[in-house]
Amino acid sequence: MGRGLGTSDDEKWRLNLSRVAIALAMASSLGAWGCDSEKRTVDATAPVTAPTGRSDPRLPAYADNKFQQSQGGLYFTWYGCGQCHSQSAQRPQNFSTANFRYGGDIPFLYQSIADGRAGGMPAYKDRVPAQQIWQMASYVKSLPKTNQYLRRREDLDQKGQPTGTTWSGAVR
Amino acid sequence: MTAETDLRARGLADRRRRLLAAWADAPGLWGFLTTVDHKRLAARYIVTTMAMLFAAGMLGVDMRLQLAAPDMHRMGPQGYDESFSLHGSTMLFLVSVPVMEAMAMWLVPLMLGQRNMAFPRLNAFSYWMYLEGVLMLWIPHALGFTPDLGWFEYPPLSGPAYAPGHRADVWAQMITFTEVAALCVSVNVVVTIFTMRPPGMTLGRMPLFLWGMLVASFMTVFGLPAVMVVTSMLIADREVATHFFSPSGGGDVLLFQHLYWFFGHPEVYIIFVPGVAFVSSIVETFSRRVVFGYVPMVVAVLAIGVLAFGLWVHHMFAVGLPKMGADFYTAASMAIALPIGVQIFCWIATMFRGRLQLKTPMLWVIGFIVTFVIGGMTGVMTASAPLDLQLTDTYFVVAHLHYVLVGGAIFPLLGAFTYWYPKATGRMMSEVWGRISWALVVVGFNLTFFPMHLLGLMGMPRRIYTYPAEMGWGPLNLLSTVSALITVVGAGIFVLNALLSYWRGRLAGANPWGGSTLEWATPSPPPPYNFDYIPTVDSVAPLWTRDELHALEGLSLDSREVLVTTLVDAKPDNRQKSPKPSLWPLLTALAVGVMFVGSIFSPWPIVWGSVPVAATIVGWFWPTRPRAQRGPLRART
Repeated sequence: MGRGLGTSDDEKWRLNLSRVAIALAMASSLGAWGCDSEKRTVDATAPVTAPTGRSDPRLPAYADNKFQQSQGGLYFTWYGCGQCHSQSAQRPQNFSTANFRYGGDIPFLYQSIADGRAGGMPAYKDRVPAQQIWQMASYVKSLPKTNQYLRRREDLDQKGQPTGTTWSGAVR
Repeated sequence: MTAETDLRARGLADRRRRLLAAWADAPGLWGFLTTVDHKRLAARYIVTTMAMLFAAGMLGVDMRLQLAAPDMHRMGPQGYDESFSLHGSTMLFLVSVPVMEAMAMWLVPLMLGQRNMAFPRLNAFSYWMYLEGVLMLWIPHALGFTPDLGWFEYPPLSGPAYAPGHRADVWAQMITFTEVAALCVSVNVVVTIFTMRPPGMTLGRMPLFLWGMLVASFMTVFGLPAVMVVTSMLIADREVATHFFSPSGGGDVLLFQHLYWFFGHPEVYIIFVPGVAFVSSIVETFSRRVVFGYVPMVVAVLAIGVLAFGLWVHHMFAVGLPKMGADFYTAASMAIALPIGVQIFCWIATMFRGRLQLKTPMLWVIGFIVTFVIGGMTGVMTASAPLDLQLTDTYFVVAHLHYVLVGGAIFPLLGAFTYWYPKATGRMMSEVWGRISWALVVVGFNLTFFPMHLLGLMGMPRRIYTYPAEMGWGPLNLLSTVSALITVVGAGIFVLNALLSYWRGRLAGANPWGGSTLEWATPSPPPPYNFDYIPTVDSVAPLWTRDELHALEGLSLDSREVLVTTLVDAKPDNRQKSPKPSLWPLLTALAVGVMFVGSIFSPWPIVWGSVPVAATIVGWFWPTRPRAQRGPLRART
């Protein structure tokens, strides 16, 4: 991501100022409405290491964030994960239900992606940067909660994307 | 005082007392929430749009500061995306269209000598829906999630795979709110103009202002459903996995662009045609003669209304449509310059043949003509498909669209604001400060946006948050930013002038500018019932052809009644009961709002949300009259 999607401190200050003013004027009662899932800040917390466990302070920014999940979904496609873990795969490769064999939280999913698992899951830690593994773990964590039709719809939108080592060109 | 005039004065006082009792709102908050007075609702609309204009204008200044010099990082790309998306969406959907609707809501009944519009409660519903649309966009912004895909959000970028979260839904549903609001006013304006013209005002004697508002309202009625449909389809794609815009699933992303621009291009004219209407009124008054070429002017505005629906594809020249088809849209786009040219020549002829008075509203019109002609010429350039392929997505387009929208609509609007301000408030705005603000805004605007043409030709793309110094775009961008600040100073003076004049301005009297149309025949500000007597007219400029208007008697003084006339000849047809103030429009708007907001999170609110909507509509239309004793619907025993 680099500087790409970051928010500088200065900008934060300005945005916060305008938000505070408007929030006070229009919506003070709604302020508590959970919007963490909508946040798009990456820079400050871009991780370079694996999660240390369930109390890792970086977890909340990835656990339920729609943007991180969506980015993870794109990498999931690009790295070819769907070749084994598609919607029509057999369990346990199918992630449509919350029955993860090695645990469904980000630290376990991260470990599965980074180090691989017995039975054919390769290790990706030497090929994929840590932040992207975080994002893919976040995406996989979200899959059981995702409506199956919506997941299929998202996959269709990404049909022209390269998957793994193959790219068949733009959709026509 | 003779006995007769004394008697007449007492009769008038008695008449006004009775009319006031029938038409005045309840005092206080209850009156505020229940009013159906078109003047109060329109004033509320205008104040809200001005607040939005200020907010979105500040976003524009913020972006100019960001682009003032190369390699600025006070804003990141995400912040910049959010800024221009919020700026564009607010300006188009929450400022330009509603403010024009509001001007129509305020002026149409006054210009028709009527006491209210055809559907007063629909006006109230429209305002509340619009306000909810404002909150729909700006509360999420306050909470930290702002739509960030521009003012037209094309799928697949805005589809489920690439626009996570609810940012795109917020934008799409904001459109639904504002378009429902705009449709309500437009239908109202059309019906009011067609059925409530004063006796004698045949279609051929309608002021050009009303022709403009009529055409703009028809365009709204035909154009806006397309965008409501397309944004609803987008929400359906994102929420319940329909495949409207999924090529791999049998859908088509171009469908979005076609439907969007089938609305989007007429929208430009929905904003511009009311501007034309303002200009015709102002030019007539300050040239001291009726506008030159009434028939060509009417035909021209009708032609704009028709042609505007035939050129939307010029927004899509770069998407790879067949080149043969593009030629037709190039031709249509160039053809629309003809009726606009006719209008501009008619105005110039009016000024030339009249006795021109350069008061502030007229100065805004001159600013409009100069600026809009430049914008129109760059429009003819971009209408050419081969040239457009080079210019599309560059700052040239940014310059063009600001020239036509600000020059073509906002300058006439500011002129109209100055022109009708005394009618609305009873006081004049300062002429000196008016001229200063005019000069600063017109000069500042041109110096802000003219350099963008050159930047575009130098290759600067739109929607970039910064650029490297080697591109050589720095000096022109700095000029643009400094000039934007000049414009802001001018706009600030305009706002202060309007605010201070409200208390300190010179008293205006009924007709300070010597205008010719009926709104100048009633006191400033107009009383809740608008007119003591229902006037009749016998020319297109009634106040200039007669010293005293003839009036029509026969409407009730003790209940709300309005006069309905025939479509073409405006012959008195019947008396129509006009609805009283009511809380139901607000309650209905709240029920619809709950359904709309809920429906971006789940499809089910459309099901259970329709129950409160139905209940409030039943309450709204609950019959208050006794059953008829005659006719097919008579009460049977």
